[in-house]
Amino acid sequence: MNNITNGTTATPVNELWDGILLLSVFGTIDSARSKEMMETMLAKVVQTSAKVIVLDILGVAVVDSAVANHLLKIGRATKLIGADTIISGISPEVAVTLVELGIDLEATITTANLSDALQLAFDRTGYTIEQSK
Amino acid sequence: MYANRNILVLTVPADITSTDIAHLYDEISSVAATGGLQGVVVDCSKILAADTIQARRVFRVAKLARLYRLSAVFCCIREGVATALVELDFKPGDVQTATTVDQAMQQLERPDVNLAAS
Amino acid sequence: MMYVPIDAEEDIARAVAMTEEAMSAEGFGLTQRRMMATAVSELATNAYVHATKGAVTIARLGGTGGSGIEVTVEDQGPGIKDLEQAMVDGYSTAGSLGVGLPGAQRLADEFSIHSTADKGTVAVVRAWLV
Ligand SMILES: Nc1ncnc2c1ncn2[C@@H]1O[C@H](COP(=O)(O)OP(=O)(O)OP(=O)(O)O)[C@@H](O)[C@H]1O
Ligand SMILES: [Mg+2]
Repeated sequence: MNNITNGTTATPVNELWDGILLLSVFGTIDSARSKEMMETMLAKVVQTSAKVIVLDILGVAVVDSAVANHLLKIGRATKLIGADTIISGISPEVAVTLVELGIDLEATITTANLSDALQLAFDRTGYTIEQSK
Repeated sequence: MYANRNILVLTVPADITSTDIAHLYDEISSVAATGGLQGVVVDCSKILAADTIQARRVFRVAKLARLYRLSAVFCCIREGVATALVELDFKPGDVQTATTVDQAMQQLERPDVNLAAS
Repeated sequence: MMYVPIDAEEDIARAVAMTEEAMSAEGFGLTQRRMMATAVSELATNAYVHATKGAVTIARLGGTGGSGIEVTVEDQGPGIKDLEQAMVDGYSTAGSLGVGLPGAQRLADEFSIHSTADKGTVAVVRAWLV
């Protein structure tokens, strides 16, 4: 499902590794977009038996309460069907904004960048990354 | 309902009445009493629709399991059920979930990789 | 001065982008821009969600106190019944997070809101370059 709305591109959900899915989000997240993201995500989790979803929001300009609410809902729905969500790409500006807004991201795990999220995802799925000598 | 590798697998009936849940409680209590149990898998695949009251009822099984120092993993919750519950503003909190029964069992055997606890 | 009518959900993103642009032109840094843009997003979303439509006006502020940006978000909706309660964190009549108004107040340097039953709501946020 590829859908372009208002300068926004819906990136497909990628199976990054065994049990790990990645969805990079760019642009704005409105209610239609979030609904589509949730559906695509849930279908992919079921299809791949994924354990961890990494939702990278570095490309999302404004994370307001509506967006946060959408992200929380996606996290809750995926949790229910059996996968944990890590939200990565929390830029310093977004971090400050979330704190000032007063948003409680509940049990959601957040990381500043994608590599921290991947490290956590690998831990969760039982993989260790090692550099060959 | 069967116990495998010291893991008790229970299936939640479609209706999720309080009597249904009481049966699950009884099952856990009686198996836990015999000892050697490692954890409980709660298979939710039969559930086709659930409201938040029913969902809370199901997830309370984890609380009972904890009284016996057992972890419970809920699995096979259908996509439609999950989306509907989220729309009803249901918050699963820190329960353990898995997509399949096998995965739930693996999770109980490797409790060290619980992301929520890290 | 820029004027953006809010008639559809995508108009909110437009108002937000224009706020960022205007602030960028004034020389505001990224953090301040994002904070203000998010405040505008909250207010414009309120106009759209709670009053079905509204309008956003973006204006430059000059003068002795330094330069700044002022964004006015207004609507002719039902008005806010209990403004004091609406400003409390977690209060929402829409089953939402209920942080929009108190959040916008914290995100902006200056915040004011006026609401009249059945007439509508006007919220003004300002950011100053210091
Ligand atoms: N422009 C408006 N017109 C009418 N009522 C409003 C308006 N803005 C806010 N309200 C009322 O004030 C309440 C609080 O607003 P606030 O933005 O803080 O929360 P919310 O919009 O319900 O949720 P959130 O913004 O967190 O998604 C709203 O639920 C609504 O009842
Ligand atoms: Mg709001």
